Amino acid sequence: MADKSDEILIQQTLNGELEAFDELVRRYQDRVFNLLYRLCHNEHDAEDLAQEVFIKVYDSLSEFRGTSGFYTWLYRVATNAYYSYFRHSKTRKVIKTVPLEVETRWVEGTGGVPRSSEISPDDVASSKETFKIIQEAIDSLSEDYRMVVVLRHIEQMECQHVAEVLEWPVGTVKSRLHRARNELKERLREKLPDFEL
Amino acid sequence: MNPRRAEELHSQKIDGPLSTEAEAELESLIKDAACQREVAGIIKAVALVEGMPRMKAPSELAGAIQQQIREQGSPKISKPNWSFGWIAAGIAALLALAFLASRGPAVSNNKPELAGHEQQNSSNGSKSTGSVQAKNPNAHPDVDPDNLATQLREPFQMEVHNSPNFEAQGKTTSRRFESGRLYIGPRNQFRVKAGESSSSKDDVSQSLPAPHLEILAKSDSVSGAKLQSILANAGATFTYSRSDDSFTFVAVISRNKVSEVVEQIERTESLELKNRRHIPNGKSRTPTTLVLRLNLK
Repeated sequence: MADKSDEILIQQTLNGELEAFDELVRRYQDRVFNLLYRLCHNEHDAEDLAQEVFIKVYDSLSEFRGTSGFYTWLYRVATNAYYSYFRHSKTRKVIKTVPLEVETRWVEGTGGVPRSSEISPDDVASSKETFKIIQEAIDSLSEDYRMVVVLRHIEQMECQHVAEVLEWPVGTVKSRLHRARNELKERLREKLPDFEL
Repeated sequence: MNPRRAEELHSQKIDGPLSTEAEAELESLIKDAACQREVAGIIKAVALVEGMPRMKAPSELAGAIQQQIREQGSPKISKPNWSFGWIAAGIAALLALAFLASRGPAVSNNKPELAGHEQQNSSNGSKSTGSVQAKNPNAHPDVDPDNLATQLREPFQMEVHNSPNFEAQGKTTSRRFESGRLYIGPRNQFRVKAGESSSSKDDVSQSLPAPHLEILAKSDSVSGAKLQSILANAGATFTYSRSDDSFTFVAVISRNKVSEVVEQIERTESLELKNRRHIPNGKSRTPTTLVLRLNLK
C-alpha cells in the first residue's frame, strides 16, 4: 500500500477500499498537522482541523479532478479550513496554548534543529524560547501574510506552488511574501536580543 | 542609499533569480551599512522561520479519522447538477423529432422488433418500408405491414432518402456510403455539404473530427435492431431514419455511457469496430448527442 501513488490510492478509496485512504492519511497527516499548527498555533485546534480536513477530503474525493496534485488539493482544503477557523476565532476568544512538550515532538532530521543528543538542557530551553518568539512573530502577522510565510518558508513550497494552493496570482504571493518578511524581521528584531548578531 | 530598495531586491532574490541589472543594483546597495543591515535582517528572519521544527501529528489523529470514515461508509459520490444539460439535450432531441415530423411521422422508439424485417429487406436489397414492401415484388412475402417494426421504417424511407444527417435541413441528396459501415459520433460530425460525396472511406473519416467510431457490418443480415437495443440499455433517447442502404440514429446519451455502447457493439458478432478515436470516457454524465449510422452490407 505504501508504495502506491496517490492517484491509485484515491481510486481504490473510491472503490470502497478504506485502507487506501488510511494510507493517504498516514502519508500526509504530519504535513497537514504541521501546517495547521503553525497557522493556528494551538495543538488541539490543529488536530481538530486536521481531522476535519481529511474527512472533507474523503467526502469530496470523487470531485478531485487531478488537474493539480493531490498534495496541492489537500493543502488547499487545509488552508480553506484554516481561513474558516480564523474567521470564527475572531468572534470568540481563543486561548492559545503552547505547551512546551508539544514543541519537543519534532520530526527527526527536519527543520534544521539539532538532534537532542547534541544539545545541552540549556540549549533546549534556549531553543524552545527562541521558537516561541518566532512562532509569536508569525502569529502577529495578518492571516494572509502568515499563510504565505508558513507555506513558503515552513512548508518550503515554491511561489508557484503557493499560488496554486491559495489560488492567488504568483505576483500577489511574492508581494505579500516581501511585506511579510519585512514585518517578521521587525518583530524578531524587537523580541530576539541576539537578532543582529 | 535606499534600504527599502535593497530589501525589495533581496526579497525578489529569495523567490527567484534576479536580472543582471537588478543583481548589480543589489550588490551596489549592500555596500551601504544601512542597506546591509536590512538585508541581513531579512536573511536572519527567513533562516529562523525555516529552522522551526516540524510537528508530528498526534498519534490519535489517524485513528480518529479511520473511525469516522468507517462509521460514515464509502465516500460520497458527488452528483453534479446535470439538469441544464439534460434540458438542452432534450430540446435538441425534440428539435430533431420536430424536424423529422415535419417531413413525415417521426419515430422515437426503443423496440428491437425491427430485426426480422430488416434482415429480410437488407437481404433482398430493397428499401425497408412497409408501404414499399407491400408493393415491392422483391419484398419478403411474410412481412407484416402492420408490424410495428415495419411502421418504424416507413417514414424514413419516404422522407429521408439515404440521408446521412439530420442537420442538412432539407438539403439532403442521395448519397451512398461504403457498404456495411456504422459511424458513431456527435451529430455535427456527420454533416455533409450538399453535392459532396461521402462514398470514400477516407473522405468520411476526414470529415469526422474526433470523437467518432467506425464500425463495419460483417454480414448482410445486420439490422438496426441490435443497435436500438444497445442504445436502450444505455438509457439513451433516440430517433432514427432508414434508407435503402443505411440507418441513421440520433441519440442523446450520457457521456459515461458512450464507452458502454462501444463495448456492446464490440461484443456484437455481426458488427466490427473500426477506427475508434477520442471517444469520451470517465464518469461525466453530461449528455451528449451522438449519431450512429449503420450502412447495410
